[in-house]
Amino acid sequence: MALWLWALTLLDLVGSGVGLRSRKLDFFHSETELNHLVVDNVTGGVYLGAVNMLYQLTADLQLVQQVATGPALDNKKCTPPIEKSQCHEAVLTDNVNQLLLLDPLEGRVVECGSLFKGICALRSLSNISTRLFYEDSSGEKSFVASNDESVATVGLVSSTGPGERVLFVGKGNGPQDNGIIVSTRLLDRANGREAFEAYTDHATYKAGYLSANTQQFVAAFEDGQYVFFVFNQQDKLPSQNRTLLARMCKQDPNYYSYLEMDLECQDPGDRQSPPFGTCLAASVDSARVLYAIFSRDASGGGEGTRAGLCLFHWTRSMQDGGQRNACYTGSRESGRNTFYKAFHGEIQCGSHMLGASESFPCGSEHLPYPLGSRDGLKAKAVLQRGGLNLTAVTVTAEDGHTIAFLGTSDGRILKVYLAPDHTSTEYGSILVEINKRIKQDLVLSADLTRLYAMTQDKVFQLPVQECLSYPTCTQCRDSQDPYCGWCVVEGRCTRKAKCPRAKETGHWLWSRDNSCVTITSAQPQNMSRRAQGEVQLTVSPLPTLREDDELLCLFGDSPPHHARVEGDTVICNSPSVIPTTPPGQDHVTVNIQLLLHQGDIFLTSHLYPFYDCRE
Amino acid sequence: MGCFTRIVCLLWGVLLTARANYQNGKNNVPRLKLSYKEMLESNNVITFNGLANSSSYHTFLLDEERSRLYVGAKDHIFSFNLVNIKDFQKIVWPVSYTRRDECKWAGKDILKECANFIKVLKAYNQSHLYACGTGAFHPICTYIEIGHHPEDNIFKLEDSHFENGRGKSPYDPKLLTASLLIDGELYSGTAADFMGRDFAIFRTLGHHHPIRTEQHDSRWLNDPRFISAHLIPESDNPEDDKVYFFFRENAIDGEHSGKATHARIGQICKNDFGGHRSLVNKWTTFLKARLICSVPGPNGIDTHFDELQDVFLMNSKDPKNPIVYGVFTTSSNIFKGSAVCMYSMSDVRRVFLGPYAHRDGPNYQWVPYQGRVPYPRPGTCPSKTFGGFDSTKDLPDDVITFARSHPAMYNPVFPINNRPIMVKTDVNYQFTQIVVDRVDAEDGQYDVMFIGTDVGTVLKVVSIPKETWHDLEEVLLEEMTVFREPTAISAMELSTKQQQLYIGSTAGVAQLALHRCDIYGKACAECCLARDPYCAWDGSSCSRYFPTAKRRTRRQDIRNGDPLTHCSDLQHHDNHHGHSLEERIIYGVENSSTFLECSPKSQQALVYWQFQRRNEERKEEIRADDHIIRTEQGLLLRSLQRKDSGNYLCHAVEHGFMQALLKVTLEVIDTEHLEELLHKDDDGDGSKTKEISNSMTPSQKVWYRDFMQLINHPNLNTMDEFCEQVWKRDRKQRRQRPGHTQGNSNKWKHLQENKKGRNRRTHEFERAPRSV
Repeated sequence: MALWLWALTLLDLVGSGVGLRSRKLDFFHSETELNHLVVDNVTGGVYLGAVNMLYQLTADLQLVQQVATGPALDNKKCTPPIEKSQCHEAVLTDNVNQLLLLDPLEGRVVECGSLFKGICALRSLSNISTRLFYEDSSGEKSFVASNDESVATVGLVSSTGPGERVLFVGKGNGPQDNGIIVSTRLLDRANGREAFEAYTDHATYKAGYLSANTQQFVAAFEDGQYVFFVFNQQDKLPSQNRTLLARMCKQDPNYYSYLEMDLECQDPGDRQSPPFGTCLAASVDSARVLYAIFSRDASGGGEGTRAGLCLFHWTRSMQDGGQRNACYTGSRESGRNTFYKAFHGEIQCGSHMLGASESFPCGSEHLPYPLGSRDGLKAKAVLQRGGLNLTAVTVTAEDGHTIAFLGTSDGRILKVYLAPDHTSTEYGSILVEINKRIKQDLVLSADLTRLYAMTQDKVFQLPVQECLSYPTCTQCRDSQDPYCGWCVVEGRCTRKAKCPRAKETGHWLWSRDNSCVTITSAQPQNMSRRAQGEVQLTVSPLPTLREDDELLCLFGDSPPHHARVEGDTVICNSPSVIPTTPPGQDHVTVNIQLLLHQGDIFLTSHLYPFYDCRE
Repeated sequence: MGCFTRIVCLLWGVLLTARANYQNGKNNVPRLKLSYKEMLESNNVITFNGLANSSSYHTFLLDEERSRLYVGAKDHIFSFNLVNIKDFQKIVWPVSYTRRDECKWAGKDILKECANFIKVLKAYNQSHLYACGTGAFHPICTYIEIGHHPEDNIFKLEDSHFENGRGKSPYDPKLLTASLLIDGELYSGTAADFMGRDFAIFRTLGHHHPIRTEQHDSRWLNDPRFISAHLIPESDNPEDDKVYFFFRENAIDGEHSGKATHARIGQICKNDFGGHRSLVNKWTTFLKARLICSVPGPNGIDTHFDELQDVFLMNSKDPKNPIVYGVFTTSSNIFKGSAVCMYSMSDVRRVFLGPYAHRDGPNYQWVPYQGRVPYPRPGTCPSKTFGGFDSTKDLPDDVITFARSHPAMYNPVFPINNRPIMVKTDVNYQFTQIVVDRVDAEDGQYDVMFIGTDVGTVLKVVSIPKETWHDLEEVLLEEMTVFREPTAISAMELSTKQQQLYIGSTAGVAQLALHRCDIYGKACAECCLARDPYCAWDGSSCSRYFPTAKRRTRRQDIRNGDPLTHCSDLQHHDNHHGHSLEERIIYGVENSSTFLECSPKSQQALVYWQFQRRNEERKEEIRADDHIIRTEQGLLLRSLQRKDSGNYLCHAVEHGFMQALLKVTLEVIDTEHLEELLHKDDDGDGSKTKEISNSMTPSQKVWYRDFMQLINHPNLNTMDEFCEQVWKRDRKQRRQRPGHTQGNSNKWKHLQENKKGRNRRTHEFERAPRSV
């Protein structure tokens, strides 16, 4: 029996594998390289930023609109608008999409390209061909994104207060960039300022001349009154690569509230080596955990490459003001070892009253700012991979279980279950496009059923789960997919939400609980075919059953009859007709099946022997 | 003996020796040194000693028309009468309690920081001033009504109209601000944030959008400390007018190994409205150059004075070319030195037209930019003079881009004659302020510098061309203490109308006249030697020189200070009006030692001693040897011999001119007569003393008593012990004596007291007998 079971499992695995590989994935193909992808959580629409092109797609990746954004005459040194007479070096230049964000509240898309010093446009969410705002002659105040294709720009559309929509931007700087690192931009004309101008004169952080560091931004996200940035920073003196988490109050026109601290992801698989150096992607979940992918070799690929996933519980340390208080009220000397002025060097800590960080949750002009702390967050990687890079991460929760989808440099999506005990299990993977790096924007669809994955020039939609493809409880269980469980009364492998009575005990058996309904024992263990009676079957786990569930007992080919349920035992009457005992044997084995709903749904089965004393 | 003044023409040899000595070290000391007490007692200084609830009288605004000096201080603005600052009005402008508490909560000192320290005080229009204060780390500005006419006598705060002072006044009262208000626009170099990190040159007020220097770019400004701002026209077209800022700052990274301070001059065009697309609301014409003030050293390593402290512009007939006087100190904590350097605007303009400092990247050297400079040349004001464009908003992109990355000039501005006109390194104070007055004298115009120091003194210095205008000689005329306590002078204004100088410090305000001619003495020679361009001998005394009134009897020689040619014909005259030659008789015991005191009132004069043996006409110069020791205060004769008896003549030699000050007749009593003398002493001490001292001054009596004591106490057989005792008592009695010079007018009193003061301070070194 055991052998049979094993063979079945193997067959199942091969089957599903074949099925996956042979199945043609739905994808959208772009003529030019893709840069960014966002999803409208209301309509489910997908927006793509590509080189010289923007696309508006349906949730099923059907093209709705496309609009060209380049190429155009430009030179990185020149101030737009470009006039050939003023800018002799201007040549036809591609427009790389640097920033693509949605503002569903106002029904618009924010889009910035690498052309023209990184100026931006507002477009209609319902039709991206409609440009709501674009101004290329406003000069440097309108330069938002990095104009260097190799330097990342991240952003976030949010509000500083009621009704006031702003854009928070974090970016590094190429050689011909404007030096601005973090800025808050208006999205509407206000107080004589145009869209994309700085929110206030002080709402920018700029790199100093010959600044001591360069930044590569990874992610921006918000939580409550705060906006967060994750970025890599290369310090010149001392030379080191750092990954930083920065936080600012959204309502902070003077930028007094900025606080940054190190993020350190340690590689438990290699105790000798230093922590991972570069963060390649990051995502947050609703539980305020930051999932960040780190790499040892940012250049990607190769044998020496190691990548890992680290989880940071940032809320506590970033929000209780402990860090800031340590600087405000601590000693000047200890402050010097821990704190520094972000982007610019030294800071003077100390000499402020106790509780300064509580009194001034968003800092103040008299408190040191922008504050940087070397006393950052440390975590051990929950998952590591060698020989390839992890390039994208998105995290979702299904029934309280955390699932991470990780993109790889070799074109796969890894499905990872993250257990509450901080262990991780890769339970599956999907090959998207062989040896094509999965781009950083790995996004779930609005209804969370699909995952959009992007390669060089294709966008794929992948189902987050395929529970229904597992016909039996065993297959369902062996998938180990945290989305899936066996819906007992329906006899299908489903998401919990798709199982009508999942809330009732024993009705939805989660795959990762490794259980299916089985008969663990029968009383009596066997029965004489001449002296028949009731068979008491112990069923585990036995779902709670109602009258209309109609649990039937079926002995071999005998007509089914109603079973009686007492506690966790199911009582069946032995059949009137029992198959003949095979010659040479002293018993005959009959398969007892328990069926639900007039025999439509198979619950479980058991082989029961009837002996024959005459033989 | 008659009273007379002697003018002796010496042999050339003597003269040359004296000249050599003179140049060796005496020209660097002030000719006259006046203590605070002397200044006060001679009514040469009027002081306002501050209010109990105020301090920091640092911000001056002179209004000659109204004859007022406005002074911004802590929580107050004053309006002093220029004639006498004891007469003043005041405005109280404190901060609210809430503001003060907020400042305190921010960790600032309630007394020293959490108040309204007035940092900007400028004339706004005919009837109003504009004032800004730190407002307890929350800068605020307002207008002050002064009325349209002086007689309106209005001085009040427009307290209904307060403005944000950010970018106008610093937050921190310790920080310096330089500002200039022209045509309703305020130019200010200051820090625009609480932390004092965001330094910039701003233009605020007026109808235009505020403009500032680029932020976060150390090439533009690198932690600067602003000193002053001035409008200097570039041509006759006002469109070319430029505002110059003087400041010191950290050397730009890579410009200097390690940290260093550089003095700078920065320029901006008055009609700069910023760029159109780039450098929007930023200066597009800002350029800066280093100001060098250094003394050449061996091996080409110069000693630099880089800490610019103050700047004064001496206006000439040509408003485009004022002379720039800069006061500098050293950056060293150990080597304390100060210097004054002079710059010409044509040199400044040449540097701004020279190569821009350029660097390709952090690992490159700063080099002169060799490439094509875009047109119009960055730093040129938009005007019809140079043509091409009407506004900085029309500047082409490449000009703006170039201007943004090339704010500094490669060449520095060197001072006129390539060296300071004045250096002071051997003193325990440093220069802080300077004002300069151009004074007409008989033989030309002279710039008289009034230099404030960090110990509350004012130096009055005149620079006199020696052979050519390129070879200037500094004559330190006076050193005056104007504050009771040593305190740094932080503001100075000079009123040519009133001929008065106004001085500010943390403690208060002082007023003093530009000249005190009578202090030099009544004689023509004394007046002539003083070389004070303000003063001339008018036939009867030393008095204020007015070039308009021509008078035959007037004598003045600033250039040479040579009384021989200018006063010789008045020798006879001087005999009657001048001071008398003092005579003394001193007794000494054979083998003992004695001291012949003689020090001239001019500290720059050298003392020349002559000896005339009894019954001989011939006078010989006394040369120092083992037997005779020369000190600052006089002559020490060791181990007296009978042959030492005779007349000792003390002369002051100054500027090649010798003047007899004192004649001492020394009588040496031999040891054989000593016993006899002691005997007589037993009989009647009093009568004998009287007899000897009938022509003596009180101070000579002291010497006599000392001598008697020696006789009475033969146990004191060592010279050292004797001298020790003499000097100690001398000191004590000098302190007690109210006035000691017999037969001399009281006008020297303060001078001599001053000498005493100095003696008190320095006697341990100069007079210690043990070193003999």
